[in-house]
Amino acid sequence: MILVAVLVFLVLLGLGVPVAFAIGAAGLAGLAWSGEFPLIIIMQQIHQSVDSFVLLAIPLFIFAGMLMETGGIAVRLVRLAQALVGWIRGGLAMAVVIAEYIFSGISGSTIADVSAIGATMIPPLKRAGYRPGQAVSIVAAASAMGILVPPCILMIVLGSIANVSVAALFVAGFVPAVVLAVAIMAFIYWDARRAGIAPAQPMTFPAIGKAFLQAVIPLGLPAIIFGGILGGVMTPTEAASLAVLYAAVVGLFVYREIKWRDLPALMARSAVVTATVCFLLAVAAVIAWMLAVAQVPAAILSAMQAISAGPITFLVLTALLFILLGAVLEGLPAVVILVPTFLPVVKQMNIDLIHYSIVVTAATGIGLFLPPIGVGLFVSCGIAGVGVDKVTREMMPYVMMLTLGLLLVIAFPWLTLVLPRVFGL
Amino acid sequence: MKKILDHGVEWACILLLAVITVDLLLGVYSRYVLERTFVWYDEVARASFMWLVFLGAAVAVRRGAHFGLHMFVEMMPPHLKRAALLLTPLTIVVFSGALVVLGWDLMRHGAAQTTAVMGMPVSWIYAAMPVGGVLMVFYAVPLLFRK
Repeated sequence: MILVAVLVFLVLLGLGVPVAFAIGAAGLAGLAWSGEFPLIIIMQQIHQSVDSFVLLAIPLFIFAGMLMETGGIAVRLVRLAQALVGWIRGGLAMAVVIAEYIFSGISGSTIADVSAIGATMIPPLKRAGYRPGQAVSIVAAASAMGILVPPCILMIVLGSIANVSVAALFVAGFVPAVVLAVAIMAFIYWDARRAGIAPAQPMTFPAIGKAFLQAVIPLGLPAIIFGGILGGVMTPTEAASLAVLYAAVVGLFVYREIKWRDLPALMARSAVVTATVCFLLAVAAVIAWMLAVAQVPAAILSAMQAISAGPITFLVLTALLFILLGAVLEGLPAVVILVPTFLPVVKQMNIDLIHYSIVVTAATGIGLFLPPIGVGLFVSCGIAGVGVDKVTREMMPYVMMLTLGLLLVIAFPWLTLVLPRVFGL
Repeated sequence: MKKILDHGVEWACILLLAVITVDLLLGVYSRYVLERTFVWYDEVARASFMWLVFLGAAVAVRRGAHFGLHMFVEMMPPHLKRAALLLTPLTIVVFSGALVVLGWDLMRHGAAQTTAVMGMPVSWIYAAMPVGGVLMVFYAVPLLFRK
């Protein structure tokens, strides 16, 4: 059953069939081939995986993000980031990382982050003398890190399939994101020194204050989301609905960057993005079920015991696997299919589920930007008008630094677990 | 005729997203302000979400928004490439067809069940799958005859 499904999936995927339908057809073929189970199981799995209160946060965060992803807000956050780190050598590139960290706290979608920050930052980077490939790599690396900054769609999905609190996952992402951001910025600094790039502007506190005041309204959104969640009063889904309200008021009445007549198109786009994500998640659940029925989780567990792998080895292998699959499959389907399959091993090895989920999230983020096929890298190249082949070499050191940061996070679970523990999540 | 359907499905998606948003805001309002949670808001949101996903997935078929891997297809010689490009709508038709047939079965199985709070027939929720399936077939078939 599994063999047929995997073969059908790989052939269809290779021939350009959309991942969701390649997975769906594979599940159908596998079940029909074995004949042991009624086909209606497909529908039950699909229905079960979509019918969830937790997942309702996905359309809401996507909608809120689209309302906030207007040019004006990205520009304000970039100015704040520049005021904060512009005085350091390579400060402009570091500002990309800082701006992305903040912007990810508003938007739940990594691809949307790339578009907003890329469009705002790539032109000034080029003007300041950064090579186009280098500018794209910096934005791509920053966005790969940004997946760890909540709200994050992948974390919502992980929370729903691994049965972990989404609030805990959200909070757990902050510190590992800092680790990855510092890793990238260390390389940027070293690179800027080597190239002799001078600091762009001196640091002045009035400038920081002014930039901060201008960014107060966009910063209100993460404040509402995390105020509500960390105060322990709201579920992420409820916080997401407030985020939509706030973003709509800001977009329509305060900044007026969104016109009423733009709203239907924007909502249709949010709906389509939501649907592609959740449809994929629904059909992938069928394959996850097939793997469970075929006792694959038990086989993986005994394989791990056979090579006497400890938790660290297992997590490193997991990270490498999800980096590769994140690049090939755009992350999400790999998570939905494989995470339930690995859960028994995770539990057997006494690895904290929050820590495991964060490692998977970070690895998927790196995979999305892995040259030459990561889909996020394609988006960033599209914005800068540079071919992916020209970016591959420039991107590699950043991928190395991100991976190094991830290895640190793996080695020190404290980094993920400290904040959830402090907030009692 | 087709235009009316296209717009109708898109407006349905927009409406469903609006319903989900407003419904959840009402839920928050009832829980924290009225301190008497509306019991129905969770069921309304989940049912709307189910429909949003399947109608939205159909719109995504029409817009070509489902993510796929085109690296290998791009490397093929033209005649092979043309054959490979037919496989996408073909797979969509087959899988969506299965959604229609099996979804219809599921609706019949669940015909007597109702939801816990509102007593809504469960088949109304299940119906999202076959309806979405029909639309996806409808949008994928023209792709088969694309030049």
